[in-house]
Amino acid sequence: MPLYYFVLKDGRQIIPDRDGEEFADRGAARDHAVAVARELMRNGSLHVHNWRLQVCDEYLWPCYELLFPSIDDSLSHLPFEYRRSIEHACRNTALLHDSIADVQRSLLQVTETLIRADQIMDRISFGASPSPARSA
Amino acid sequence: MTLPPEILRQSVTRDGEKISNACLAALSSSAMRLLKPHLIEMELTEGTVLWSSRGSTNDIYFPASGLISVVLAMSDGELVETASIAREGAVGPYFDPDQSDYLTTGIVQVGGHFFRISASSLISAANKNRQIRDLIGFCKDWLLVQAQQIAACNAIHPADKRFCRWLHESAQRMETANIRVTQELIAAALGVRRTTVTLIAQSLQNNGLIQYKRGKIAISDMRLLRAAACACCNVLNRRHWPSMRLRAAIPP
Repeated sequence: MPLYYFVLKDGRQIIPDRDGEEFADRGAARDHAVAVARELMRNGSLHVHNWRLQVCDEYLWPCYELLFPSIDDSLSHLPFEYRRSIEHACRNTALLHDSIADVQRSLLQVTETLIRADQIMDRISFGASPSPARSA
Repeated sequence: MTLPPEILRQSVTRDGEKISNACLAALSSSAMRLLKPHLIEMELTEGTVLWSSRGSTNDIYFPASGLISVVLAMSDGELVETASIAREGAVGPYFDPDQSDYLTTGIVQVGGHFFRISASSLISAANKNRQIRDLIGFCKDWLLVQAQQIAACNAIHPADKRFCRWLHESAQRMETANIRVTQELIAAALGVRRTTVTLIAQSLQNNGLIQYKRGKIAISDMRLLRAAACACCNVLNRRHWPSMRLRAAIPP
């Protein structure tokens, strides 16, 4: 049976289930994701509304992403258009979190590149100017 | 098997583990003389089923270094923990030897050293000694307190806080920060899926509360873990432990 991995995104961190689990097909993996999301959401606070659970195949390719508000029974009393607005807002918040995470990753890479560039420049300038030992 | 007296009476550390039962250690010599001929020392591995609703002998277990989980099996096959016992107490399907209709299942959640005695031998000794009668009463109370608190906890607290509560309590009672337990067994104890436990454990690890490898959880910061747990930690504390109550009841 194919292996599926589950990745929780809570807006601050990405939390992977590194063990994965075998399921007959994507539908069964999706049902499992829904059950896990319900367990994480049960008796929880409102901040879980920004959470998502991603289902990845055995090559870690994302095949499905579950937004917690889409299965939240505590919202079921609301009119359909309200629920859609909440889902829409949560999806946008999730996208914003993804964008912020991308920007943070890019900044980290730029910082690392600059540090490496500084180190190279230091080595070049050190090599160019004669050291006191050599000049002596 | 002959039991060396230090195993029963003292907290011996072996590989960083306490391997004595605190209830047995609290009993007087006269009470221990009644129990000692009937106690059998054994090593049990995690996942061992000690009793179940399908029936088994009515034995009482005194954990010396491991942890026993008392679970209820639901009709759909799911298991939910109603209590757990480590070296602070003793547990069996019933303390009454005449009872045979077991509702619960006893599973070794954390492997280790245990002492076993038949319920009939324990009751027979209790009829002759007040301390052993107290021990049985305190152990029954402890199971009841846990069942009541955990029922409320399961109903209103989120899975991550229950996980932290379970881990904190287990560490306190086993007196170790390193717990040999699989996520599958924790999932069964909390009545959630293994994936849910893994995601919570990973999140706690990211935040520096624990470190986990396959089959082992090391608590990095007990204070933070306690803070992350639900308020049930404040209720299920040492003052309810049978060993503590027994110590308070037995004059020095």
